[in-house]
Amino acid sequence: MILSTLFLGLVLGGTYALLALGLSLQYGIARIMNLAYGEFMLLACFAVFMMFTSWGIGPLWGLLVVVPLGYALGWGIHALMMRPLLKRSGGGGRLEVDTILATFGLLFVVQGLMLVSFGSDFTSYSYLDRGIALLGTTVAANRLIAFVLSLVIGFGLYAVLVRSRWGRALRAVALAPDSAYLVGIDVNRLGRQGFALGGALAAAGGALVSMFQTFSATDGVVFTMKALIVVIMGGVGNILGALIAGLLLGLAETFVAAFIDPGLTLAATYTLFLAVLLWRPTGLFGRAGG
Amino acid sequence: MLYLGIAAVSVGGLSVLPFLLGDYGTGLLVGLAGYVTLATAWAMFSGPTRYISLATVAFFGVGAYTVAVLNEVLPYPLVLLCAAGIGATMALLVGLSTLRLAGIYFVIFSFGLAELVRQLITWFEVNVTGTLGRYIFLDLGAREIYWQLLALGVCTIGLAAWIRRSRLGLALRVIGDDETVAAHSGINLARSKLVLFVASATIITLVGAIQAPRWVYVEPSIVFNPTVSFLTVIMALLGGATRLWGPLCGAVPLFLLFEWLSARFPDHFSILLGLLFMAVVYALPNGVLAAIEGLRKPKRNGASKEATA
Amino acid sequence: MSELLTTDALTKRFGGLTAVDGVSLTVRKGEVLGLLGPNGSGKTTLMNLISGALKPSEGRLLIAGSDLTGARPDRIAKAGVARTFQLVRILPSLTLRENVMVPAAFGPDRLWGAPLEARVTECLETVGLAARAGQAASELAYIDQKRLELARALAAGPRLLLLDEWLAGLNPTELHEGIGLIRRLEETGLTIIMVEHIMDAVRALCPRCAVMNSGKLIADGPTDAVLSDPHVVAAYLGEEDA
Repeated sequence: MILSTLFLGLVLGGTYALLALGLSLQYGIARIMNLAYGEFMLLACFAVFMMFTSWGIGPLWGLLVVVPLGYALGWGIHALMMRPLLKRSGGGGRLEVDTILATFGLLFVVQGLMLVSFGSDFTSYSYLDRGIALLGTTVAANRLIAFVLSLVIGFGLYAVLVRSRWGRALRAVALAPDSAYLVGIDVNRLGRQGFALGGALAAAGGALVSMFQTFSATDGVVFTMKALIVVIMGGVGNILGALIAGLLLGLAETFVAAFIDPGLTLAATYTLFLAVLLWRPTGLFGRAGG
Repeated sequence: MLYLGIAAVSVGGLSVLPFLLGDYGTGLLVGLAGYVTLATAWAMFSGPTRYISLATVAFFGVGAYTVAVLNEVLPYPLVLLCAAGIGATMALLVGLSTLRLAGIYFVIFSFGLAELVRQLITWFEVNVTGTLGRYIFLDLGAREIYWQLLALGVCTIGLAAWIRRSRLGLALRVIGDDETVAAHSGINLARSKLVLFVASATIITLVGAIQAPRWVYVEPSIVFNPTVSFLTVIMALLGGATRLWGPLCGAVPLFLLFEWLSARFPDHFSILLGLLFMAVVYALPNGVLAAIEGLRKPKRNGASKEATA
Repeated sequence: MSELLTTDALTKRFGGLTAVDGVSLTVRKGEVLGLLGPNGSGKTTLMNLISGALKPSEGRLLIAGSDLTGARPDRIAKAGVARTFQLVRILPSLTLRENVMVPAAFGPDRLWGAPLEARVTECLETVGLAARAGQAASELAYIDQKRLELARALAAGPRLLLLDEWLAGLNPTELHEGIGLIRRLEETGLTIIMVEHIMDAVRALCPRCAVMNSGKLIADGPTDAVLSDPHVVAAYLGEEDA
């Protein structure tokens, strides 16, 4: 029981980590608090679902389709919606408020579009839903694949951000947005790339989640909330922190659902969030501000 | 004295409106008074501090649900008092844990708060009381509810006006501009924000409590409808959240527009809402009142520079 | 009790870096102290510790005899410490008048109504901005923003005024005016600590000087003696070599 719960928790945590990573990139690098993040993830869920049920395209191939689309959508939204706000704010604290409000509006638009297209029912599909024996328990194949893929994508991205020149530039923008331009970094361009990359990760997370969980058009807020909490637990802009915090949150939720009550998972999430806010507001692994 | 006279006459006029309008009109008045009060209460805190609260319906729903639970147990005035107390306590807890941190933590916390409260109440009802969904049997018609909301709305605008002229109002505007300067000027940041947030949340809770009898049947998914949070924010923003009469000026036209839209395009309502919201954020960032003022005195900057040169 | 400010082995560490390292300093009532040192020597951090913007890692902070170690900035402000900021900070959406009202209304004196108005007018007159009281602060030129910031600090009715490079970035005429303004404040008996790089201003305004280098206090005494101290000269030359 404990071992299988542990597996379930890690699987869920892996996708949370991936989702949080995307949100962290959008907030850390592009300085945009995207409240419609969960809606973009759900768009990917529905896209993969449609491809699988209508055309018989497997979710793994679907993943290859939605990730570039997520990147493109993120890019487009940044160029069309966020640029004017960035220009208007002139770098002041106003940007945060403006982007929160703009993406709050976007949330309702995207949610409305999904409600019109797919209705408000819970949706799921069955893909590789057979058990695989692992260390004495059985894990559904789809969950195992989702877990492995989220780790591969997560750590792959981590390696790119730490090792490559481009990754270092992105991190420089996250750490010192006001002085990164001094060393020849195009802050605006990288901001847009960071935002688009976040969109790609939201799509990846959505595709993976849809393989083993039911979802509905109104679930976006909860996913955004969880991703936000993971970002804060891990420390804003801390990639490894987000990965670890994501796994922790997945474990906490699964254990609460298994041993206390499935109706209290969001309460568990919030309790964790509150504990972090009270104990270490800069995140479990975050640097102290400034 | 003149202002008080005008205010008395307007309130008197507003309170006889239900006799002139039919049932449908009175129903609209209830909604109008409710949203004017919600938007004004929201702007009281979020306007000057720029701490965007997305949790309006968390408090509104708690108020409504308190009435649903207690309406057969306690006399009505005590039910309202309980609702206010619960709302204030919840605001105190939320405020104490987030308001001493940067604004973004507050926004995030408020973003998911309604969903959290909804799930907790659902869980409690299913597992502990075993009844999901409750009936409200209170002998209150639309007219009585409207009068209560009107009274609450007048008190809210009065309170907002008083705060603007008080030390607390100045403190909040300074906090909205620069928290560092505020702290070094002797302003207790956490306490100022907390007082206002609790006041604003208590009023919002009361609006929910007073409006509850309109439903008769109540369950968590009905009273915790996220559209309420959304409408409140957009109304306050449209009119201008930093002005006394801004929320009212935004709430009246938008409420009527939303009524029309939701009747005409029920399926596309939330898409239209979202688009309208973005239009306000992009086109009228400081609200309609500021935009009108801007039109009336263009090029003031240039003129004042010349005068001081 | 003539000791207004005492820092006792005040220390601030950021991770592995010790920005302020065991600084013990006493300022008496009516004194004007110049705080010097190369860039990054910890002057602004020390000012932030005294004003409560940062909490010390070790050591004690006493203001007028009461222990305010680790107190929040608003409590220290209420104890009578007012400050300006290295990068000027005005309240852009408020008028000049409202800017100046803030510390008078919330600081040690907690004024309201007519006495508040009188204090505001007086402070705006001191810096020469009274005629523009109703204007939005965001419309001011740089020098006037600096003036406004000083008026705002004065409005608190401070016992101790902290000026963090208030004279920096002014042109020669403005600098002359600025020095005159601070001298008039000195003559009223106000206690001031000023971080300053402009040596002429330090010589003109500060009878006493303290010098910091890599977080430590390396000299403290009469300005002439301190400025000719070989350690101090070496600290500055060292910086120029780097």
